[in-house]
Amino acid sequence: MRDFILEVEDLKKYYGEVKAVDGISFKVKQGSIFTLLGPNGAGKTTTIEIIEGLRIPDSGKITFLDETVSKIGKKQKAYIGVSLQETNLIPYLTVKETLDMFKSIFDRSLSVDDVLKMLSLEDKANTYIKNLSGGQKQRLVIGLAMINDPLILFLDEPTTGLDPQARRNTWDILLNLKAKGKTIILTTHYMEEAEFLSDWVCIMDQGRIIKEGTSQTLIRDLEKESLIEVELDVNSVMLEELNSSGLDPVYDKKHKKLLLKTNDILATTDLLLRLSKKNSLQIRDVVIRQPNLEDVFLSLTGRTLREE
Amino acid sequence: MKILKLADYLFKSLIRDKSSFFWLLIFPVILLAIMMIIFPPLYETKSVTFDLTLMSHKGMFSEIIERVFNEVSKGENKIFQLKVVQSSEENLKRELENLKVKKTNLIVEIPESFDAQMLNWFMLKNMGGNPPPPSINIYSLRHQASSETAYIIVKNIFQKLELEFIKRIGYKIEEVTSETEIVGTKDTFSFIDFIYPGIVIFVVFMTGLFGIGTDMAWLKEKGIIRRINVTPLPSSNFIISYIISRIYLIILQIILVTLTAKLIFKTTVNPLSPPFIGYSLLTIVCLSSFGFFLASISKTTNSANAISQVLNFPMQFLGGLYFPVTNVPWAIRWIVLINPITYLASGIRDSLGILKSPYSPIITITVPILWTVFCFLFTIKRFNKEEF
Amino acid sequence: MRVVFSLFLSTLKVFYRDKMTFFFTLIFPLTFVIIFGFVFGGSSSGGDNKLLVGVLSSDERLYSVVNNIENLEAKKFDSISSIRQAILEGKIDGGAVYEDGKIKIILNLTTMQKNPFSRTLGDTIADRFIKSNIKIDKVIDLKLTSIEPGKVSTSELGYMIPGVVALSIFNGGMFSMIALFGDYKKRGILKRFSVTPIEPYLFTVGMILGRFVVTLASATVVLLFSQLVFRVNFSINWLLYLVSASTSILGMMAFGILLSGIFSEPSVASEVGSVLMTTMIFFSGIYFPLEFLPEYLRRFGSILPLAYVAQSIRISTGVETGSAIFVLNISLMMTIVFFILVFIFGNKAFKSE
Repeated sequence: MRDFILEVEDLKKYYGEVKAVDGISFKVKQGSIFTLLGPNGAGKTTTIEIIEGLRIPDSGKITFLDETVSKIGKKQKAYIGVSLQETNLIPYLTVKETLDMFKSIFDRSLSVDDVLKMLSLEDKANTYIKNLSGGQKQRLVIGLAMINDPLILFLDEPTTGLDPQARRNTWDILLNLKAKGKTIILTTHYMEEAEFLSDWVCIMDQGRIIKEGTSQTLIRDLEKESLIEVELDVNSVMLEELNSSGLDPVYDKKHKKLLLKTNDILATTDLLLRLSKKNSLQIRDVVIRQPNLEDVFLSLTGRTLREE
Repeated sequence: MKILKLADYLFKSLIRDKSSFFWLLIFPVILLAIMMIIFPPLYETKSVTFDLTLMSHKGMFSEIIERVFNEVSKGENKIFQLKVVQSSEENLKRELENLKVKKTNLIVEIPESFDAQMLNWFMLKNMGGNPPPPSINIYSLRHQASSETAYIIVKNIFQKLELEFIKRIGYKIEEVTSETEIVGTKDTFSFIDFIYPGIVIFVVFMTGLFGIGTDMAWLKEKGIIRRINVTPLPSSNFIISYIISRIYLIILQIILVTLTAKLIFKTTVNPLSPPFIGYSLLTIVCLSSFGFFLASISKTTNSANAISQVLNFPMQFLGGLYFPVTNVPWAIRWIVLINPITYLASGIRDSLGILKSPYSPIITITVPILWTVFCFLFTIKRFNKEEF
Repeated sequence: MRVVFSLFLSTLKVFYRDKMTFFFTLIFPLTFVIIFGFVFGGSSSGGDNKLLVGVLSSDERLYSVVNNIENLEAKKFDSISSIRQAILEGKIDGGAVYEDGKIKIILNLTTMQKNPFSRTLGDTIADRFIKSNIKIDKVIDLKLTSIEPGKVSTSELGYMIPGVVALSIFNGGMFSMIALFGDYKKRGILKRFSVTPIEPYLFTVGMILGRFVVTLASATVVLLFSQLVFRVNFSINWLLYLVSASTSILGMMAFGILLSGIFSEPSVASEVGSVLMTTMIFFSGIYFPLEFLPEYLRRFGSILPLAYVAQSIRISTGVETGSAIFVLNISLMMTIVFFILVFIFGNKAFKSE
């Protein structure tokens, strides 16, 4: 097995003044799950669509299966499977017919029955697409991505809009695929998804990768064991005092949430109570938890992953 | 074969949609039937009886007139349902009201002075003078086709009556009759022959607009074309499959319409004749490429649908599919002249000997070809430029 | 009351976004008027169209007879075969040759249908031919007076326009109710309102009122537009017009409610509506005369709602004579049917949520 199945170097795509992709480079290990994590508009979809061959980059290099190309061509497309951001299925074909239609495009493919089994859609084989639920459609879309038994799967926001159960089902399928040796590149703005599935996470914002690593290393780099989320109206005096205590507070004005990173929970909560009493500010809620990728993003950009 | 399999699925997905199935396959046959019910009687008017009111009085000539009208108002296939009324001002007022509310179709009023005037006229004529002929008043109702047709029939009857009068007064007239010889390929006039090629063009046009235009716009908007683009399938292959799937549809449509026209309405047009096949192919190529053109200029399915709806009706009617539009004011004549359907319709009818075309055969073939080339090139250019 | 008004306003906005209804209520009728206005509005059929008839150059008498007949123009040819050839090539419309007391008319059927007058061509030419010998032009002068069916004198187009206004009313009323009772119900919009303190009736009233106003406005726009652009002469009795138009809208709305009650799937109801509209365009006798059709079809055509609406509008615009009583009767009937159906189906629409 080669080391890196896909390498992207200094990819750029500008739309007029807008820098959708502003110099992105990464390497994807074969057989891993690689995630581009970022809020809407970060450039994840643009990046992935350039690699899929749907958009033409302004500059950059893509090395796929040891072959350097400026854009993916017919040869490479035989080895990739794609799930685009929109669910694009033809309403009046059945599940089986849709799989068969895509299967016929490729020289090599899995059998339709095997794929149906993998997706747990056997009993829906003869159902029209328009009669499927959202979760079932999404599973089928992934099935279409793997019908040609690809080496790499590109999945753009594969669980957006699904309920938690459907999301879990999808994660299981993806882990299954990984077990079969497939490489999966996925984009998402759900941090739980990135944390649960990924071997490698690239955090993207405004067209750039601002940090990458495994989820553990990214979180560890926050250098704090715990996070305290406090809901209160804070004033500048209190912020000053927290700052000088080395707690590096981040205040989310919109949600009126104060985020403190600490290695000593007891001391920090003690300080917090004292300061709020001193400044006559009322604490409405306190949550003490482990840091996650959301916090990583917040600390890097001052914004949240999810737009609310 | 990959292309055929894909074409198969694209065809299936189109006709499984009940709406498309109805409008593209069933409705054209219904339309043909409706046209065959409504229009032929307008041309034939054989078995219609008109309500005629004759206002008459005593007098040699008036009585002759009355007798003649009575003759044609008898029997099974009588032309008129006759009502005879005494000629007077009061009666005329009443009958005019009847005419207005369609209780009668036509009023023939013989004025009281008619007979005397008639005798006078003949006397003066015999003496070599040139007196004005006596008049009979006829009242018809505007905007009423039966009233207007009744008038033409009455005019004809009077033409023959005049000859009778002339004979009676003692003129020697030569007996001249007329006979008609028909030249050309058609020996009977048949509306179905006229409308059948029109419906064929209609059917292809509908497919072009909705089966291709809005459908492709939808595939584009929904992202299905993009999805195909990430596979190794060349986009040209996809287009070919799509075109083949539409050809399946068009052939099915034409078969349905032809069976109806041939078996039910007994058209004499031969769908296997070279002119028919030739113009049908030209129609398919031209109007399909128009559909692709529509899809390429529409950003969303909604706008494609809107454009199709707006173009649908005018292009059909101003293309002369249902009635001739040769003598229209310049304000809309340019629409007629730009419209490829105009040339396809008149070309196919001319080549089958159904109706003479105001445009030469070269023009009826060239203009649609120019349209096809333009739409085709435009679509390709748009297709290549677009980043999916 | 404020609620009703704001619903009413939002319905006005929705009208333009609901492309289907907007198109068929306003754009389609206008297009209809424009096309038919130009095609039929100008010259009457075959007005300045003279038929070219070929005669033998040796036949001076026939030549002058044919030339003297209005709508005919004679052209000289050397032989019968050259006449036949010219006919086949479409250079002339027909030929007339005098031989042993017979006038032979040569016709090509592909040109014949252009002018139905050509069917009686032989008789007319023979008749004039005979008369020319005895130097008699006309024995009886037939004086034709075409009276108007209504108060004003209008062209063919003018007579037809009330029918187009009726079409606009039909579409606006029918499609808007299918959208309201069918589409909205499907999208759960009615449901959303049924959990608010608004009485279902108020909601329905607000939305119906909005659609009503818009349909009435569109129909009137079509009327005034045609009057303006094609300079049609109407004598509009505005009171009668408003009464008949308004109640016709209610009647057509009732029809739409009925359809959406029968067909639960709104897209199906809408398409059934389209098919019915197309059928009615042909069979209601407004655009194509039904007078030559067999009895049963004429009767079918006369009971179609569109025929009644068109008749009412024609009477209101002075194009046809009719009693105001007739109009009011129809209006009353429409209104009653409307309220009955709203009652039946309106409740059903909310209850089934």
